[in-house]
Amino acid sequence: MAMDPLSINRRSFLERSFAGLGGIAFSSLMQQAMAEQAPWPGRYDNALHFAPKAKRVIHLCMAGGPSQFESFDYKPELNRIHGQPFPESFTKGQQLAQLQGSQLIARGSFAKFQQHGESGTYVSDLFPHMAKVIDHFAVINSMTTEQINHDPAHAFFNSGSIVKGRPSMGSWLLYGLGAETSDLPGYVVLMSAGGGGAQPVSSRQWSSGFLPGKYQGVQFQSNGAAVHYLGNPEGICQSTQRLVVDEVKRMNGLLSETRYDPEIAARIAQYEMAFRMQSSVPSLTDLAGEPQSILDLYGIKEANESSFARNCLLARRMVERGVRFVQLYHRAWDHHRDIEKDMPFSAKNTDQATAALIQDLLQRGMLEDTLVIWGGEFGRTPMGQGTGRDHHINAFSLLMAGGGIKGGIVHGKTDELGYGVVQDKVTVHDLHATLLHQLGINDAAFTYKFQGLDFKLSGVEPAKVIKKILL
Amino acid sequence: MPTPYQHLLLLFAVTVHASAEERLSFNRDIRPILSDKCIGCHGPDAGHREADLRLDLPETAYAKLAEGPGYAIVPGKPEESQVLARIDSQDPDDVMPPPSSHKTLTKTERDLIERWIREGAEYQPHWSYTPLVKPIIPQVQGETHNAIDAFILSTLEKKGLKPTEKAAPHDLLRRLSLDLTGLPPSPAEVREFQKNPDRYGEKVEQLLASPHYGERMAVPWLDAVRYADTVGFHGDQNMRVFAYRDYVIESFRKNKPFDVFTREQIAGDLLPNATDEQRIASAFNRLNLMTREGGAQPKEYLAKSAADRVRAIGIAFLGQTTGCAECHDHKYDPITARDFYSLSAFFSDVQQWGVYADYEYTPNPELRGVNNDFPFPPEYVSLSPALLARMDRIDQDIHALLHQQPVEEPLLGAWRKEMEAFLSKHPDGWQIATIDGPTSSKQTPLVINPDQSVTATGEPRQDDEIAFPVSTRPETSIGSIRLEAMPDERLGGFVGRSPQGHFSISPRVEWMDENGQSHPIAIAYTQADLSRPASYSNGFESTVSFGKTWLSAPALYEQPSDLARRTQTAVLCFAQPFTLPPGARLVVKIQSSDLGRMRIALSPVLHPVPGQPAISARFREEWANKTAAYHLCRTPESKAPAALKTLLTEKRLCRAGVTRTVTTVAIPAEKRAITRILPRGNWQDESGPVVKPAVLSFLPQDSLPKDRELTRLDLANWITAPENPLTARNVVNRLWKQFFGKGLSNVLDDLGGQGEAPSHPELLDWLACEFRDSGWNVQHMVRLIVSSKTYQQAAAVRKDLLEIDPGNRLLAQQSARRLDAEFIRDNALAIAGLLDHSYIGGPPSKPYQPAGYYAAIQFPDRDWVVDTGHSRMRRGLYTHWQRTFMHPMLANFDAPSREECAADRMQANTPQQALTLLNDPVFQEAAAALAQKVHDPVIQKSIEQAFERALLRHPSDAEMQGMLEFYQKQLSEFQQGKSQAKHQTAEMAALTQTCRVILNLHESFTRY
Repeated sequence: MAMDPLSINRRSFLERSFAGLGGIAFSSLMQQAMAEQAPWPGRYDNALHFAPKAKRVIHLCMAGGPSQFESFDYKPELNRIHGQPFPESFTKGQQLAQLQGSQLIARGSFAKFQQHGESGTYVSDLFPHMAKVIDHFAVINSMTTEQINHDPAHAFFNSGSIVKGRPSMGSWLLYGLGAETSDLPGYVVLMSAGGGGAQPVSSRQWSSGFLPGKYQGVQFQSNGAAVHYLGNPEGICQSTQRLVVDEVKRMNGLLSETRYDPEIAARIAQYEMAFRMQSSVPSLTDLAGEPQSILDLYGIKEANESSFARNCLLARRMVERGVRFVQLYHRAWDHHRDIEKDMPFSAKNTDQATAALIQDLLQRGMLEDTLVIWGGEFGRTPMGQGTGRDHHINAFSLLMAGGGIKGGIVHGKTDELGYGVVQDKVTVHDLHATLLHQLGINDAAFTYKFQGLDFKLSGVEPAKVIKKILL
Repeated sequence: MPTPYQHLLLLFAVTVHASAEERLSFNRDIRPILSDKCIGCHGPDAGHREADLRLDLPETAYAKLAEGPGYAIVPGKPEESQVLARIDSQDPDDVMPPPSSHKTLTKTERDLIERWIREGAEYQPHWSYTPLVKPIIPQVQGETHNAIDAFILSTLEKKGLKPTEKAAPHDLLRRLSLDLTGLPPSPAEVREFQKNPDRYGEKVEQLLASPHYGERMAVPWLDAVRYADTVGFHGDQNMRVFAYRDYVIESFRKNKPFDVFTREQIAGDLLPNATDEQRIASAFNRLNLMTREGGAQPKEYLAKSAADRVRAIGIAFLGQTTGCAECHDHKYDPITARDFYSLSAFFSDVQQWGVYADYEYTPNPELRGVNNDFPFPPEYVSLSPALLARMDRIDQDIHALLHQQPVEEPLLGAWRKEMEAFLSKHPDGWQIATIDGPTSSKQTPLVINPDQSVTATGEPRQDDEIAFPVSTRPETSIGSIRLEAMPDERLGGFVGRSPQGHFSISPRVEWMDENGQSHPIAIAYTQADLSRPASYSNGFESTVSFGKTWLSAPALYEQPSDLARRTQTAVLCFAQPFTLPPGARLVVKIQSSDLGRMRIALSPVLHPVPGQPAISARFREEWANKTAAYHLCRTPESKAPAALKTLLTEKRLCRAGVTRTVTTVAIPAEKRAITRILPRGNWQDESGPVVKPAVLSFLPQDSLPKDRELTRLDLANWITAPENPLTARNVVNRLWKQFFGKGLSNVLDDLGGQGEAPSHPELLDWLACEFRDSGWNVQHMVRLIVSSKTYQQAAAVRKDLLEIDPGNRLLAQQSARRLDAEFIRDNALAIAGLLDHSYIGGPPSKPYQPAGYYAAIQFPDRDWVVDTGHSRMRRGLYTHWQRTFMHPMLANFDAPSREECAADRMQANTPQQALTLLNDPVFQEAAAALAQKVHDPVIQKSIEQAFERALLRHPSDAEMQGMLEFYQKQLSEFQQGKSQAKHQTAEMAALTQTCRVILNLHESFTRY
């Protein structure tokens, strides 16, 4: 064999770990190494299946499942039959969550809808800021999912499967494309909550599953060190820490003279990167350099507050620095009860910052190649559940902007009561295929072998790219 | 799980196999190509088969094509074989594999197929499904210790490679010790071994006999069966299960035969006269994820757990990806959807619920009142040896503490005299109280039994109070009273008189003076060994004490089923020692409507444990010459040092050694759900055919009974039946990885068609046969492996092999391997002398964890309170395993979340690992403790010692030189005040940093 895939230099390049400059699947290195095997079509920076429209993704996950009837799916007919029995023709034999076995009553929207922007898209009065930038969004009102409980629904939305141990979409992207930073993780998760309607979210949602661990999402904590064990031990200054890291490096270097163990070179590189992270992460999360106007735009009152608004600004700072995938969970949308009190609160906590993120990316010229996704793991029923709404998977709203998405359009239609999709149904697998497509990847050809099978993010059956919303 | 570069290695490795002169082997050379590129559409899955062509079987591949002219494969004639014509076709509509499959054949692969057809297109049955026949040990030139070496050398000699010399003694002992116990040897042990390197065999035996061997061996098994301390779905609540983990450790310690181990886990509850141990083992069937999310559909989650269990059997025992047949027949292996559901039918008798909660909107009458704080029934109640050992460990601390408290001699002398008399009559510290004229306020009939217990009979009577006047004259001061609720034939064998045999009692204690005047005696604390908790918090009883009212066991669905017929014990601990005045008598009064049979005993000890002797062995050994025993009888908690309170609390939290474990209870046949094949895995589709329990249909099953419905016990028996070709291969293959870093077939969770053909198929089969024929003797296999010359070779020392065998699959040397997550912690703590291994097993421990980590967990909200005392420094495998947010240190070092069964751990090399070792407070503490241990006025000596403790070798000149310079630089950092050392001199701080460097060295956490 002439090739030596494990020569230390090449190996340590491949091992640029979580932040690897090029992802493994599409790196030109892989190309070379695989050359005698199967030719891979093209290369990133002309290595991908398609010319990429988006280079990075920000997923604003409205965890808990926001109501489409109080946000983006305007249903006057539902309002009309408010309080009346919900027609059985819609619901017969359908899967329900907490409403199983109850009498079903139509619940009209408590929010008021108006048309906004040049597109005249309907937006409820709970989202006045998003309404102002609605022309940048494709509003998908025909989103569907297969899972009706939070935990599996998040899993399905992230990985396209409910079996544990499957990689999340962020991990897939990192595996395929790598990140454009060597100082920060390529896939970062941020959390916020507030008010009623919070549901737990498992760290499995950003797991790399069967992909190598370095493609795992890294959750930044909102309190204390943003990354676990990031801070020096108590009392240890950065110059002392530097000396420690240098000495570890020197000693590991000596070891590699007697042991032919390629892990040593990789280990040296990882210590170096860890040390860089110790300054790059705090400088990322320190908002002191942001002008007041930007803080105001997002609605951030205290630079170190723990909020969705601050997370949105952090997301912008991350993608600026080359992070590939940023996922923001706002745990506040599970409005089984008191929806009229709690949902306006959740909307208020997220509306301004979401709009600010769009504007901010736009003014920096980054919206065009940053894909922004807004939506929950499912939607809510047109039937009431006491003072709220139950989970609903047959139709809900999801918004996309930037990254080659056509703004100012509404895609898909639900029936007059918003129960089911009557036109252009979109599945989670379709969404994944579209996401990959915008990043230049053909979902059907993007596989990873595990337990003997070629796994795809977009599932076993062919998925459809949502062509109608693309520029 | 291979990392991407390992994938490259596999690709290269495959092409290494077939040399030009050797005849091709179907299994080695052709099956991987067909399986990956063709079988998906032309294989066992009838539902998705194209052109009605199967290429995985010779008879169908040689047959006339169903569509189009000719034959797919004509043995010996590639030019007539349509397979090759289609591969070579330039027409995109014709070429195979079709472009839409995104699969392409390489030129090399295409040529191999041609050559194979030319050589006769001979098929072989898939290697792992062939019957296990012990291969002949090959003759080799080189020296061997046992058969393993012969098989390894035979390949090496064919390839003209030489094995590597034996590892240096310090490396070898460190390797052996880390591999067998997960702990490093001490420098003294290494020095000893260096003097007597021929005593290797003795060392092996010594380590196999170590209790830590059980802990080490348990870890991969716990991954394989997805053992965790929480349920995994949604609120990810605590589940009580550690006794199962301890069972696994103990089974390896005792070298339980693997067939017995298998039977106990899958069907322990079905064994005749099942023991506690076997019932605990059956927790295996309950390790699936569970939910109590509001709005979850029970049927959906029952389907999820059924599938979960089928995957578990596949991964843990058979090495088969059974999960792939949930929606359709397996695409690559002959596992059908019917097989999948037939396997799941074995578990239809397991008592369980789809949703473990009772919600207003989805009521669950069987689990009335069960909310997010409840445990997950059914549970098995048992006495945990680990908890008893833990109590003893705490007791040791209590004695040490109280010995420091002086007592005035006259008091002590008098007390000892009293005690001597008492102990001679009542060695366990309990004096049975004689009852004289018990009375009931509601005229409940009462009988005094010969054993001095009193039985109340008849229907329960509301507002009854029963008085037990004690006629016994106490021989010492009284510190506590014991209540024993006993079963009685007159009560239907129950301990209480409620219709279920329960009781609920509120006891108090009084003394009556000569004038018949009653005086209450203050009770500081109550505790029972068995009880029914009034409420739960986060999966555990809300309180340790039962307070005023003791409710008898069992709680909801608690096992064993006769718990209400077993003696249950409570202690009432006095606030201070009580001496009965002359002429007075003691009266115990119990308010209860349903009291059954009760016996009362007295003890001088203030803090006894219910169900245990009041006088421990330690007490008995020490009472005559040390002071702790005195204080335990005479000094009330309020007057003892504050530290006693902490220790007593810890001891009481051991709950008298009683623990509860999720368990398997078989429900009667008529109550079991019918198992159907779910079309496309859809739980809402009830159109599929009904199936009965059955094992994988394509495998031999001669040992199974044909005349009755099969049970879980049959499944367990079949898994280790002589005709089963998979289990032995699977288990030894995983075991091999533990000692060589990779499996012989290195896709550890898939011995099926899409797995990897073994690098040494004859060796794997030989080992599998040896395992089976030795009576499934795990230690025998471990001993064989570590005794081999192959195992004892030096690791990572051959530059030539980097080129020839980058994956080290030929084993011409040992492999280097980073320690697994748990052992990285253990190793560092052991080096620093901080590791607490005073007992094995026990409740999950909570070492340091970053604050706020559980912020996203709810129902109920979770916090993390770091353990106090010794349990903070326990081994990594005991760390509380939270499935949705696993401990970041363990997660950073690739421990699996245990939501799914994992046969293998991948090993990443990430900056998070560096951050953990650099900054996690646990490793700080270890560095500081190591510095303390090795401190010497001559700094060079300190460094040398630290080096020796961590790496078991001496530093080289270059290493020492640099470390000394580093130390000096650190010293000036601290002297100049750049860095601040808390509670340390600048010298100690600089030495701590030096130790920190040593603990961060790649070599420190790599086993060579």
